[in-house]
Amino acid sequence: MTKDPSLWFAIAILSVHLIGCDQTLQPDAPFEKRLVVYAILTNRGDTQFARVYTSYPSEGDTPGADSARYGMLDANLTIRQGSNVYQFRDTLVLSDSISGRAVWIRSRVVHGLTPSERLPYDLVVSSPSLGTARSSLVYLAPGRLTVANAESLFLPSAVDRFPVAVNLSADAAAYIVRFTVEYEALTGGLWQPGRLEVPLDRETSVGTAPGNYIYPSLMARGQLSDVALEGRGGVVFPGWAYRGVLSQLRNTYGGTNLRFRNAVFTLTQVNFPLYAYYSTANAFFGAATLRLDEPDYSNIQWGLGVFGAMRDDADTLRLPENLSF
Amino acid sequence: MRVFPPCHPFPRRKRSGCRWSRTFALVSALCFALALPVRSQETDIRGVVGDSTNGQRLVAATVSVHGTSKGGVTNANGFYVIPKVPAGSYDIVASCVGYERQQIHVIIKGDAALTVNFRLAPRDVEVSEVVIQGNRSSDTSHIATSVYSILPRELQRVPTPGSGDVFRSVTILPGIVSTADVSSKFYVRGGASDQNLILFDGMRIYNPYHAFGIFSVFDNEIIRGVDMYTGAFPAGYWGRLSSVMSISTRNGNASRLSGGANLNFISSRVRLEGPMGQDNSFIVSGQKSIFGQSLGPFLKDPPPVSFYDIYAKGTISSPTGLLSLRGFLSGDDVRSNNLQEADHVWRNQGFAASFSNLIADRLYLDATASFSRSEIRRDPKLSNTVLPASSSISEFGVRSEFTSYTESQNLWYGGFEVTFPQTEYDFSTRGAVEQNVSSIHPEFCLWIRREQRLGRLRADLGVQADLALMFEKAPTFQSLQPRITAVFDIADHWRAKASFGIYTQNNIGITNEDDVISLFEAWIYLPDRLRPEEAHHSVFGLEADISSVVAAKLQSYYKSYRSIALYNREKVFASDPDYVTGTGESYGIESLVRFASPTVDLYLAYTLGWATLTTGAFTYPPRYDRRHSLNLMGVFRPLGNVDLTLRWEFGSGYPFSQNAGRYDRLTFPMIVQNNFYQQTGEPYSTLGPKNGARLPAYHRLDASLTYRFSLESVRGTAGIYIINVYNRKNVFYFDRKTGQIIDMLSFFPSATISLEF
Repeated sequence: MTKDPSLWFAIAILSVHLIGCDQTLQPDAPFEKRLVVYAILTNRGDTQFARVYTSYPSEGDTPGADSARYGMLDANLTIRQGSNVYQFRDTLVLSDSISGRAVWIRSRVVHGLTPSERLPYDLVVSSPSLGTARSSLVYLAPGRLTVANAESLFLPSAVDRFPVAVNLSADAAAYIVRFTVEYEALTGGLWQPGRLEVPLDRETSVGTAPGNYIYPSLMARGQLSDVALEGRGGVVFPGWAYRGVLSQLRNTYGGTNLRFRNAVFTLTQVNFPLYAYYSTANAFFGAATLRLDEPDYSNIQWGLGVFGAMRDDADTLRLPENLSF
Repeated sequence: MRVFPPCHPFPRRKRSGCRWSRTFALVSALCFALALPVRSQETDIRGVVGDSTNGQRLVAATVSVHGTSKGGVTNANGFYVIPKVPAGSYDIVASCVGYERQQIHVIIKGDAALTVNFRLAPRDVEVSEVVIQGNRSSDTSHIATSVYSILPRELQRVPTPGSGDVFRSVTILPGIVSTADVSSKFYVRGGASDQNLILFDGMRIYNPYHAFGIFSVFDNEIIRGVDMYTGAFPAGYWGRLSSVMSISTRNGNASRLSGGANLNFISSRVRLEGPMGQDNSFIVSGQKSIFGQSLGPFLKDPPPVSFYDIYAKGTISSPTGLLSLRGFLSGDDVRSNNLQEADHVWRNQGFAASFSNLIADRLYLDATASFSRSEIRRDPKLSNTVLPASSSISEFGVRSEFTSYTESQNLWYGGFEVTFPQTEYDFSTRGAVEQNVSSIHPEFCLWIRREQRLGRLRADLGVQADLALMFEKAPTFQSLQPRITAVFDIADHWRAKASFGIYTQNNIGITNEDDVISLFEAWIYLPDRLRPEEAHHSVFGLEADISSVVAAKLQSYYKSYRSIALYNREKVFASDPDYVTGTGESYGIESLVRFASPTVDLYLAYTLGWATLTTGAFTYPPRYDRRHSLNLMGVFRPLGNVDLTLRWEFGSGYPFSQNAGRYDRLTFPMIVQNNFYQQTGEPYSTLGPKNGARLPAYHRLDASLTYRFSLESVRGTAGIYIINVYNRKNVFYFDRKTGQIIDMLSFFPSATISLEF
């Protein structure tokens, strides 16, 4: 051993070297194209939309957002409720303003489907080339909201706040309460309907610039915004915000060209899968998360995306046409 | 070499809290009880052993009473005690590897302690003697299974791009791996990098790296030694789950003014040291990067990195004690001209005052008060992918440790430490919401341990009490942590060793578990709802001095993580916790063989290891799980003043998560409007099974050729270093968005020159 240890050194390096260090990096697992499905049932009408497309390989240039418009043409999307089968059809819609330049997006649509509370809905997307993706949900039961001092809506100057408490359905994971004032304004000789949302708060002004209004956002179940709600979910709208909306309308249209119509409190409930997806895709809502990774969520079996449910329930109070404040 | 936990301050109580008063009184009473001398016709011999040329106190020097079995070993301050020497006439002999023996004749008459100080003269020795004898001395004197005492000479030997690096050097040890050429972070026996306790002269240091972690902030020239515990460390070390790296600095030259300078392609460094009155000394060292000047003319885009570090130490010596003040500052700036690339800024600082002396006949005290702070800031500028963040951790601590020399071979150690780590983490979420997470949690530990020798059996029996845990939330077994090691001398040159210990950790580093490498690491205190992290270490080993030139070690280890903070894989809502308590385990076998002859030193370390983490029902390997790790190093001395060093490293691939594909993910920015069908979405990479694939194997050959010369009173070393001699393309990481593969360091030649006077 001691005769020529240097030789040992060289032999050791060479032998391990030759054993097989010619591995190459495989950043990508074998790509398996998967169905991407988005469908959200709402009770806002009997028309429901959906999106179906596919995932794509990581390698090479990033296809980017435009790839979303390439629909999965051979996929058949249905939603079943009991013996009723709702067949979605292809359609083209223009991308929203948030998505940047306008592009036509291949989407799916079905008419005549108004989801009913507490009934199960099964989504099936079948593709001859990619197999079948499935998901299911039970549509949300109605929620209820209670405006603590609704009568004060007719005497805007007499109240400081409007606490709105909610009772959510058991399946709701998140909710939002919005307060809008509906009106008619005389423009061009015609009474045109309109609506304006009442904010929750206002950002602190910086310098001479007034702070922006803060409007309600989606809140997780159990998240309270005010102790006055006595343990129930809900929000509190300040009286100044309500009066501000009324003033803004009157200043815009004048007293004689404006008719107030309704004060509408709308409770929108979101079911668990939709809220979980939304929370995950938006980095847990910007909360103080310490996580540095980018997790994902899906309730689509054998696919990606989400099958969710959203439900609106409103409490409408008729306002005097010439409400004084 | 005997390893003493670092010296720390005598406690100065800020206020007389009832609990603290009682604890202090208890500790003091215990100390003095242990220190009581036996009054008979016996006396103690004590003193210090130093270097005759520069006054440096020598650690692990052996002092013995010739003709008897009595003797002692010097501690970290060069101090020794040989208790209970009967009256008579003796020759007291001091010896140390690399020094001439010195013998002093004494006559003991009464019972008054006798002070005998030694000044040993250095002698020219073969490097092999230092390597083998030095390590043998360390192995036989340590009652520990997994400790490596590294001398400055060994630190210099490992080829590195700059002027030598303690963190790069320790990665040649078995059980220690690094995940990247450009990161000095290391991982020990399947533990994460935040589980390593780094002590610099007793100061707890958090991010002691330069330039994204390419180099450490410590000058090798000021380092006296490094004790690297890769597991089952003794009582006195606490707050980390995996390992302890205790770096101690040397004192300045107390005999004359001296200094040195080093210049290489990456940095320039100067050092000045000298006496400050009799037996007192100072040492100052500073380093500044010179990337721009050295590489600028040759590279189109020289690295936008600059760094500096400064270290200063003043020491006042007494016949048996030391008082030292020291401090260091370091800073790094990575500022890119590209507005799309984020800038990073690091700052470190540390200050400490230590007092060491005999405070009773047989009671030696080390006390240190220290403050350290580490911070990192990230400015994304116009980057779309990086968010602004800053993090800092500040820690003030007081530590006191005593050694009781009641018997010649059997010693008591004990002490306490109080620290106040304060963490701050400011960051922005992807929703552009600014967040702050901060905490300050005092930590208070007591420990006591006993070194006991019973014939062939030697044992280190200790217990660590984490009082902060005890009072807050932990069950008893987490608060009281046994630390036990036994060494059995099977034969003259064969030793069997076994250790067990329980360890906890409360401050953790945050990194992205899915990143191949993390450049930004923030420290936080464990969230309240989580149990303290806890690991149990079990180690068994066999060591042998096979011949006068060959030594070998074989160890097996099993580390059970009973509680460890892991990502909450079930998190979907903001209210869900980010982290949950998981479990894990790591185990493996390590082997080390060293050969030393006058012309060749060879070093071979091989580790076979496994590591897994489990959260819920899901088990996966952490990204630093390396199955095979092999280090070969050879130092060849063809001529008396020329060294050729080759270091070859091989490691099987680290785990990573493969890309499974992409899809255009809709984020529902206006979810309530339910217009998702009009959204185009953003490309999102889906990942395959977590850490389910492996990077290609890593291997690299480094070489250095150094030439030593003298020019009158100036000694010098000129060297050529080549990193990655055969230009192996080792994968550093790949960009998930672009698919681009980034390699680690390619062929990189460097030259260095050092001068000493």
